[in-house]
Amino acid sequence: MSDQDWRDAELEAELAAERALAGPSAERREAMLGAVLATVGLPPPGGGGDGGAGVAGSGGGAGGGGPAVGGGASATGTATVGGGASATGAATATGAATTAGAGLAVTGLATATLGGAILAAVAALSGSAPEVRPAPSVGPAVARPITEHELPPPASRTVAQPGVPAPGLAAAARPIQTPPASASATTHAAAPAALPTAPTSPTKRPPRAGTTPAATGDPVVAPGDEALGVPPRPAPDQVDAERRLLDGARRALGRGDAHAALASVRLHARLHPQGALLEERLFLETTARHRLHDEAGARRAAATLSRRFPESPLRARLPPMAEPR
Amino acid sequence: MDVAEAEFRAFYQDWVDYAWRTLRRLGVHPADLDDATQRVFVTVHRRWADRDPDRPTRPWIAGIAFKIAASERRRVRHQREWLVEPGDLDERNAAGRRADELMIERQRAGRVLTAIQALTPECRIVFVMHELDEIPCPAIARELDVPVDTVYSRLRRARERFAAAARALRAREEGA
Repeated sequence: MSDQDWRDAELEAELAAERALAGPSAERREAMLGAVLATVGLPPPGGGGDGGAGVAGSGGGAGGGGPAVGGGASATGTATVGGGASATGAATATGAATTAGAGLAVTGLATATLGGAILAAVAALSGSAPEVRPAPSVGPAVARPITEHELPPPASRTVAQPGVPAPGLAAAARPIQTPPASASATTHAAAPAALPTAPTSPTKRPPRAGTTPAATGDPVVAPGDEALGVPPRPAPDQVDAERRLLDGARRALGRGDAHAALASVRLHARLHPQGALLEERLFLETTARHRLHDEAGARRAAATLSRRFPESPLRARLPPMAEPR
Repeated sequence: MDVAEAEFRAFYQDWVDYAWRTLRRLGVHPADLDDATQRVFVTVHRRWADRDPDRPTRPWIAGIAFKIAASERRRVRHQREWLVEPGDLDERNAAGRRADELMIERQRAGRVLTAIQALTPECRIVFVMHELDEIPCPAIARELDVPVDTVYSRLRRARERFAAAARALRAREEGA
């Protein structure tokens, strides 16, 4: 069969039509670029103050009582976040600010405030009035023992292995995460001092051994270290990467692009299946699925959020139709 | 922004459509297309330093997309059926076209997409790379790391199967 004689005119027309089909919309392309850049540790599109600068803002804002928390978080939620973070981690904030100096990026502290930043952001999304709340229970996450694969890479870029099949994203992305220079220098010094002081919340239960998404139907709680019964403690750089991914999802929701939001949420699930911001991810997933009219998926995500974080303040902000039955 | 970073962003803009379309043709679930596209570019970034500038980019991207699509298939197997449309497409190719023409074009493209799914993954990638992307068989063989005779053999099988599937789809639509 030659290159041409296997197809008739209509088959040729069909192939031509498929060749001519365009790709995703400009908005989706931009959303994907944002997620890719966040994953590989580059600044977001448009010069990117709110991704890379977010961590620095968190440290300075919380330690000094200033308003700049969360970088990309909406103005509505900003002041609230500072209050919430101070309420739960005041001792840590003061210590960290003293050590690192005002305005420096203190990711250990940022870990404690991140939940609050996203909480405020999602509060703004859901249209409710901001209020002072304790940060969601990320405390236990930073107190968990660290596992080897959660450590930051020894070099900023790892030589690729040609011919290696594409691994899960966790493996694919980790070697190329290049933290901001100022953040990495500070965080590794500050984190050991800051982490033990993080409050231990009674709301976060240890994961059930052997639990898998397939068994539970949980949509984005991917199998990971939970299967070993030893939840990992996220490295500071990882938490920063997590936050940027979820910021991307939140921004997508804010502009009404639930598809892009869900894509960012899923990417977060692959990269950080048991990440420090799991609680926020589940909330964002519930919201995105609700907006896509995927009620079953939204209910599953909401149920997982309720089961894993029974005292989460985010539960009160879930979309009504997505409440677990 | 340093040179490498600017270069990566430009590369993304040049190739994101192609990666997205290739993943779609390779059968990635529409709801996972954006996610899988991101994975392609995360992999591109990881391999950036090792990229051979003398090798054509198109087969390189297609090869990465093939592996990502394979891992997606493993992940979603038995998990769900197709429920979601690909979502909003870029309408830049639709400018100045009549609506009925566009509808026929979309139907034709839809038949291709459906017929491609009748192929095995190994035949599908060869068919997509050669028939839709017009990549020569030796380049496909190099990228997939298989003998070129294997590529020809898969292409022959793919064409037969694809033509039969597309004709069957057309007949079904005309009979409906």
